[in-house]
Amino acid sequence: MLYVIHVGRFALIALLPWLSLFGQDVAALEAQAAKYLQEQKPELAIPVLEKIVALDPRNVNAQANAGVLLFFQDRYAEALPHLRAALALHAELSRIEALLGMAERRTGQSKEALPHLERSFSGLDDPKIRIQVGLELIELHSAAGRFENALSVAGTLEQLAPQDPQVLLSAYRLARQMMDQSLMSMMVAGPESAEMHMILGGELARRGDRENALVHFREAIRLKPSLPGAHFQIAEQMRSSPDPALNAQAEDEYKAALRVNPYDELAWRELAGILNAKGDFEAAEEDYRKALALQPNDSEAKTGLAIVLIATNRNSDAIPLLESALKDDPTNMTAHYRLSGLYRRAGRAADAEREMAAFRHYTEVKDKLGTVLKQLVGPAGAK
Amino acid sequence: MTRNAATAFAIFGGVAALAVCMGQGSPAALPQLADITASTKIRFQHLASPDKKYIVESMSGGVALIDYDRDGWPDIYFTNAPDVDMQLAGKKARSSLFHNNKDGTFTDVTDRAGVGYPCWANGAVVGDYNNDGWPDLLVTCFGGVVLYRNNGGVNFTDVTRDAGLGGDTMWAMGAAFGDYDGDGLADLFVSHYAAYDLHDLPAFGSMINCTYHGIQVQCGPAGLKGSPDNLYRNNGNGTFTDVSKQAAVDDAQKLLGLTAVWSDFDNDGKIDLFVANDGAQNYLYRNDGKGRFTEIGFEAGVALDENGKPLANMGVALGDYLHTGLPSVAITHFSEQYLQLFRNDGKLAFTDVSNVSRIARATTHVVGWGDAFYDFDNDGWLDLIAVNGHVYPQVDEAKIGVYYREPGQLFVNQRDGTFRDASDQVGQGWKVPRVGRGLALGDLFNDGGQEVVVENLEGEPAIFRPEGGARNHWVGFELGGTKSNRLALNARVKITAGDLVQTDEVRSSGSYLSQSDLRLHFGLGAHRRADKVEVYWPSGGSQVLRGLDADRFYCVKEGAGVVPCDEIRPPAARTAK
Repeated sequence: MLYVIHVGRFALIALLPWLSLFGQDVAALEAQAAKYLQEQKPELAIPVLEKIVALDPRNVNAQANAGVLLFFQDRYAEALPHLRAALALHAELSRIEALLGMAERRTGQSKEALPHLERSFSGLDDPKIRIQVGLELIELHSAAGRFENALSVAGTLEQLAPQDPQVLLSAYRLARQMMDQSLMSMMVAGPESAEMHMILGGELARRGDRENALVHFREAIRLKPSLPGAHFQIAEQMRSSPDPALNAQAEDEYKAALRVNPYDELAWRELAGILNAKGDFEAAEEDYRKALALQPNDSEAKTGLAIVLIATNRNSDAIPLLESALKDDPTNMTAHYRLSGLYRRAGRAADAEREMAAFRHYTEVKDKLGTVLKQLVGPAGAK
Repeated sequence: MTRNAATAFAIFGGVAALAVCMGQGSPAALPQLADITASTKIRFQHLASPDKKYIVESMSGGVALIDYDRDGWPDIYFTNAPDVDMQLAGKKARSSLFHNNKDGTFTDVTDRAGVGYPCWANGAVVGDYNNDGWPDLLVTCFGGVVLYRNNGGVNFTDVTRDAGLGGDTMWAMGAAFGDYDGDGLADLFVSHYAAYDLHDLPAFGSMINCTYHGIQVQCGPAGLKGSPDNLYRNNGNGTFTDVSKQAAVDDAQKLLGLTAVWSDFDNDGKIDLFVANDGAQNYLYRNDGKGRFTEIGFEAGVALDENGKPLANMGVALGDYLHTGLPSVAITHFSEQYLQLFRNDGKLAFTDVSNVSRIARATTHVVGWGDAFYDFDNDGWLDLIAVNGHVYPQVDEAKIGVYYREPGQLFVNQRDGTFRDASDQVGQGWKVPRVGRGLALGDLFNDGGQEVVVENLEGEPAIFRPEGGARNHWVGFELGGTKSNRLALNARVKITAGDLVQTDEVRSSGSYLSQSDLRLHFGLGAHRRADKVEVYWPSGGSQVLRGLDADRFYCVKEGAGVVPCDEIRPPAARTAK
């Protein structure tokens, strides 16, 4: 006989057919428990299972099932002895160990929980349970400031379930915690440092406070003129401003960034974008090529270079470049759109349609994301 | 009633003529756009709430040049709109019609013409729906459209319901007359903007779509639901039938429609339809014949910007700026976008050359509306003009480098596919910041220079007259259809003067909510005559005229050639009904 117990998100399979070791009493109880389990009546099955383990403490199935049922009744403290007993009787029960670790954590026994969760995490083959255990591990590690360990688990989960909202939320929280931790550490270690101003500038920029972000980035440069990234951040803020006077200064800031760090690939790329917009196609092409020499897989740089080639009537050269850009980043919407147009001009209607379909697909995805983000940042009480 | 340039100058004399003479001494100098509003004696104020708390208060301001009495001198109609509070209180805004006095001034004839209070008026376009030769006026409204029948050049009658257009209660913005089915009658397309209820308005600054760089502003257009569009087939008996769905131009996606223009983009003899949609892809409807259209905006390359981003498409200008014989498309947009120029490469394929043409960078910081290809120096090459003005008055106090009132822009055609920004070189009047909206072109004074008529959202309109510059020649055409629709909408004229070969098309609508003079105007540069003029009529027929002297208007009748203008204009004015 094989019993399947459906509780919560888990579908635990009882280990083996029950063995009647101790005569008719145990056998009768087992039959009764089995009946309740089949009927999905865990509240009735639990006392029967407890009677079995009282008669037969080494009954691994009864111990395990009692522990599982109690766990999913949120009776963690009562579940613990049964889960521990089952694990002691059968050390390879990864699912039972996972529940044990989670029960221990929920009863304040984090220290005991950690090895159980870690061991079960590596031994589990059911992805759902593994994700749950991993999420618990990330929380445990993060709470203890063990971000490296948490990151390792998060990395495994993102590979296992890259589109699981729970996993993504956990990764997001972890990143925020690490940012907060770094900020706190910086406030202690270098509250007046250039690097501190870079952090503050970044935070303000993220909140849309361009004016004050620029103040901090400039202060960072005043304190440490050779600080990499500061000029680039200023340039980015200037470029995205609605103010034409600030826009006009962005080019010089990218150039300043490159004087500090000639290997700043992003600065070369963005500078090329500005030159392209000015119609200085020759200089733009040169700088895009510098960016690509530093980062050959930069999909955006390849796309930018392709745009320059199109502007200078070199469509046939732009096509392979855009195709390559899409190998680097299949979600590059601009590359899909541009490539569709070039294919159409080249008489490759089917290819053009394929690229347009891809473009429309990613447009829809982006629009949905935009809607979600707007809902997230919208003022409370919005219509 | 055509006049040659010398006669027209004589009429004006005084300051205007002096300015023209002074300009002759420096042929390389650009004409100056002189603000002549005051001297025209036009007195008109577009109403506007100070705060523009709702998007509907920021969108009106169309201007139509309509020679309603067919005397050969363009008259001017300005739309007007109330604000939300006025509308809810039952108060109306007065639109105005000004009659051209042929002496540089205009007279307000609104009341006797009966066109003062059509509705919450957005735009106005011209067409001859009953094909009687008298141009009718269609006003787009917040709440449908109003069709004014021209009663023999005396006054107008609201025939909206009788014509079968009374069922439209949506927020209409763009409209354009054009004979899409080739039956010799002008059909009508109407584009609609948002589904918007004055009794359930999104509160100012209430959500993410109601902020701009952190400033609380009116809500929209992002987040607003759109309304579908309508195509009305002319039944030939003074009524229309809604054929939007069967023609497949009903805008099932319900995008925020603004300007709509008919044009034969591929010279196949069937007019196509371009619809600019705010914040979304533009539509290009290819006329497949037999009353059906196929939307090919993406395939044609005019739906989005060059990188696949939807822009806030507003005003639409069409023009053969490259002398290829094909109309290219220029579209005005919101700030942090740019004025988009789509080069027509033929066979309904377009290339976004905004950047290559040097237009994009110069227009990134303004909110553009009315626009037109405009040969302001009569050199035979179409320049490009646009008016600007933000939608949020609040930007002035935010100190973010963006301003509510913005000067217009003028780009000079460099004859190599690029334009030069000459906005600062065409006079002080043009540099005055305004809250521009509508823009229409027309030779108001029949002197060979096309005036620019601008309706501003706030306050008075502005009329600019090109003065000075090189002493170039020109020629104008007033077309009269016989087999084709009588106003000859979408007739094309190809004119050859020496090495200059230009093409233009008679169009209803265009720019933003506006209507330019239906007469075609060509600059001829130093050429004193048009060697060859080819007229391609919507009916499919064509005519060739040769050796036409410059500096005058010609009236051309389908099947007959150059005729006295009375022959293409309707007979004596009828008694007003």
